[in-house]
Amino acid sequence: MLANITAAELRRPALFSRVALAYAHAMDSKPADSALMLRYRDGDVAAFEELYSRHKDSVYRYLLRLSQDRAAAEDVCQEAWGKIIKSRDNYQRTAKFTTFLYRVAHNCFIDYVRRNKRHAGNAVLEPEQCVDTGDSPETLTEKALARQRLESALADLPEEQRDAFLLHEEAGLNLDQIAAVTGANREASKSRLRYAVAKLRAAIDETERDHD
Amino acid sequence: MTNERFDRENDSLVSASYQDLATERTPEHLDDAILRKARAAARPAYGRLRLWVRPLAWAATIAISLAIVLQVTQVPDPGFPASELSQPVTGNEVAKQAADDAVAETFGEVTDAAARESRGAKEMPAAGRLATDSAATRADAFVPADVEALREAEDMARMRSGSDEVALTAAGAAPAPLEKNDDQRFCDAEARATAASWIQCIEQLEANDKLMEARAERLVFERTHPDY
Repeated sequence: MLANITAAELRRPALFSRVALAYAHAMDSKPADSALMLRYRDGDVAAFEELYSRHKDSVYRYLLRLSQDRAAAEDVCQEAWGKIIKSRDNYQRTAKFTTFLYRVAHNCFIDYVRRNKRHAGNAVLEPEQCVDTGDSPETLTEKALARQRLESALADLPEEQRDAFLLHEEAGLNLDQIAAVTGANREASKSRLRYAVAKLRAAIDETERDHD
Repeated sequence: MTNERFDRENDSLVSASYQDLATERTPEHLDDAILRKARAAARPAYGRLRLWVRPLAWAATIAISLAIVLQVTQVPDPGFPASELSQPVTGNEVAKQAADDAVAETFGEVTDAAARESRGAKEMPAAGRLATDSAATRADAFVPADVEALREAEDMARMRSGSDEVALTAAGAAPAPLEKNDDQRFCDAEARATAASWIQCIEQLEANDKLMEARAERLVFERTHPDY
């Protein structure tokens, strides 16, 4: 829309308002997470639905990889979102919403592990149903093998390193935010993340070597 | 290759590999459950209660107002019977009534005692004193707005109970005070012989400004000659 506006048109005063409106519309179309949460606090359910749709999959994957168990991931996910819903009345825009969300999810997972001592944490997830991407059978096999290797390497990571890696990948958190979520300091979080990435890189390299 | 560059390259490669791997999506039943919970939480919990808020507020206001009015107007006096409490009376009236009752009872009992002198009713003075005391207690227990009226009533009651005591003592068992009691009567036996002479005596007392005595005599007279 903005690309269609020429420089000559920009000189006209009426156009400034059009640009401003378009800009405002573009900005309004994606309000911040905390703004959505505040709107939900005021009773706007649609705001929560949008907020949920933004984060639901990443939170689920974070918990799935952390717990290595689908049923557990679903339970913890439901519990975490339930806590977010309950906390809406007291929600204040003090930290980034993602940090808040993943801290809740992380704490729910810790509680879940404490409740279920039998949680082993080393079971490799069963692959989901393959989506037909039009690749050749060889390519599909290679991809499946790479996925399996990476999945296995991820599962073999110590829980703290896996947690740091998943928070970095799924939530897009930086080191300070990872530290805030996990309760560790920044250096510890950085170290955990580096080790996790290095181990996963080694697993990927191994897969490539096997392929060659 | 510096550590940072190594990290960044590792990071991007691993990140790309992970993004290929991580394609799971939340199950629909989980979405439904969470969104249902979110909708339920957004609904005001006091939706049904809101209908009752206004009537309850009115009821509470009326109840509190009534309680305050009752608290202000009610006279806390356990000495009075409930039937008396229900009647709107002033402090002055209550005191006067109590004093009159005491005098009437006392003098009535004195008359009875005189009639039963032969039997030597010893309990009568005690009963009379008790009645006087209870009248004074009743008068004291009530605290009216008009303090002057209360004082006046108390003085009257005290004066009467003082004269009563003399009369009551006379009505006791000892015969000597009984004769003395005859002397203390405001109208002597001769005056009391007939109703007309008794009335005349009472009027005489009133004319001499002995209103208390006249009143006491009149009470006794009214008891003796109720049909007069």
